[in-house]
Amino acid sequence: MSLIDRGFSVRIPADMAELEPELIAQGAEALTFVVDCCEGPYPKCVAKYRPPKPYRIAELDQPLRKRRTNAEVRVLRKLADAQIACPRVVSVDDKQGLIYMELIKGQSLKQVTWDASDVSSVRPLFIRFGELVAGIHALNIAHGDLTTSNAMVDSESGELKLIDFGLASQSANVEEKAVDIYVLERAIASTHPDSANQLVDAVLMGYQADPTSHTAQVMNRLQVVRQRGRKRAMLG
Amino acid sequence: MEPVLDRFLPPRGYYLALGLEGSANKLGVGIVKHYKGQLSADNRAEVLANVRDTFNAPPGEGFLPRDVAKHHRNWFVRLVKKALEEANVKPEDLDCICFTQGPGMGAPLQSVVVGARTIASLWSKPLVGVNHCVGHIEMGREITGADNPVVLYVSGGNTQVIAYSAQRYRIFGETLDIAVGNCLDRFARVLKISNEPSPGYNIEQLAKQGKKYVQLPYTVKGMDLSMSGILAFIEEQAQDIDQKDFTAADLCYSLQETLFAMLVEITERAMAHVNSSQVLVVGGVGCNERLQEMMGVMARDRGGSVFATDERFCIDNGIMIAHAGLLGYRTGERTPYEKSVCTQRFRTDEVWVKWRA
Repeated sequence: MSLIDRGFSVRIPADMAELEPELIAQGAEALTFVVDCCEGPYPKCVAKYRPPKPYRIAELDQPLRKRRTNAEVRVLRKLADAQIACPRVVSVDDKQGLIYMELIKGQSLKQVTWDASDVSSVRPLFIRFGELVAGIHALNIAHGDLTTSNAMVDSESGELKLIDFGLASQSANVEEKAVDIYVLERAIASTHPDSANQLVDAVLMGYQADPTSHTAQVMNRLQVVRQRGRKRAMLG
Repeated sequence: MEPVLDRFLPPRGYYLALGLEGSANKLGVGIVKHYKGQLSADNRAEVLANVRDTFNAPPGEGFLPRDVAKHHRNWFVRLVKKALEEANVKPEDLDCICFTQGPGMGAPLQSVVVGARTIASLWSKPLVGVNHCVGHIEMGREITGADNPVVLYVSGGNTQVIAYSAQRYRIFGETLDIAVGNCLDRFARVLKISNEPSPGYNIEQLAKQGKKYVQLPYTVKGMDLSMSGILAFIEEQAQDIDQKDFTAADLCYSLQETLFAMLVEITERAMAHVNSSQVLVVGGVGCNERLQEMMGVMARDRGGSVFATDERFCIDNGIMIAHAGLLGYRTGERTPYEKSVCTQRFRTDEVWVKWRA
């Protein structure tokens, strides 16, 4: 198994192993594979597997993995019903912590931005990023881990799609939505330090583009969250 | 680009710096020696002295800034003398006096700055102000030999996941409310556990007897985390503990397991984000062996390794300030008297790191 060659010690479920999985990402809590599924609308799809984390005690680990798998599926289905650009769920095995979903072919927004010759060429993508976040917030969903690695530019349609709802929460309040934006601001600042201000401006512009939504409330709260983050006493 | 490090090399061919730390309840004085050239496996910084005295509050209480400041003023001269004696160094041999400029508690920081200015003018030495967090990071790198790790900085006042990029230590994740050490210390106060040698150490010992896991909230937000809700929840669980079906030790165990799992998770997320397999744990909570163990399991799973130091360097100390200050001094940093005021708020990413490539 190729995982072992790369020094990783994770075992994958037997039924998934038959689908010739190819590891594409090792995140903090999940391994993401591309697998062959002959049936259904998607001949190739993504298998997202949350392996047991040996550093966590089982009493903490098992419920957490199951909870997160189920929560992610619920969020993805709700987003699909609302026609938001994100992967569609193919099937779920919550006992093993496995989700099969649509494969989005393309590059991460992080890579596209790093490769871009100047900021203005990626500006429309960041405005769209803001609009998408406003769209999920309108459904009272907070993403929980907004970064430029978690937005993909679809190589077929050129469309921007959000991925990895592994930390998403439903029934999000204004505070959670503001934290969502704050986390994204900070992720942009650390990943794209040279053009962070312009990129964040574009995101916030897209976010506030829909005047009928309640994004103004979130923007107000964002000020409070920023103050808290930046001015916390940070004692030795 | 390779940094220029030896423009200020004295004729004897090495540097000596004295560092003063007092941003919280420890007063530390350290003396460090650097030879010329970039530090490396064959050219390590030498610790000539590293002395410390800690102010402890009685059980059930936290330390107050004015009491800590008084403690630092009382011990300042004695500790500086002791450090010079241990290092067998005379004041005139020093190249610079380094001091913690922030972040930290106002009154203790000020009392140490006054001491730093006094000995600097007495001995006609330049002052170098140091960011406390950068001190921890640089000392951790030097002691462990970790070259370019993701850094988890965990202490009574700080909880940050940091990675170096383009001359700054950038903060990828941090607490959205209270620090992990603060959470542990405040829970120790609820249980009226002794503050000596430190509340966190006593929780760690008690947690070893815990067997039953009590479900606590688990609040990770991407690379950030939140701990005030967990503290409020567990404080409630600790009320009338005699009538519950779990013990104080079970609560300590559950609190540690939950908080540390969250810390390991955000550290792993940052490692995945920047594609690194090394992790360095610094700060007072970094002494906790259970945290080090959990971090080690995670790092090995990623084909990497964990670097940690013991209490001499994890817990606030003077040597880390001397070491980071001397790195700054060698690249031309000086803090004139009129700029030597300390600040309670001084973020890790404000420092321009000139000494690294």
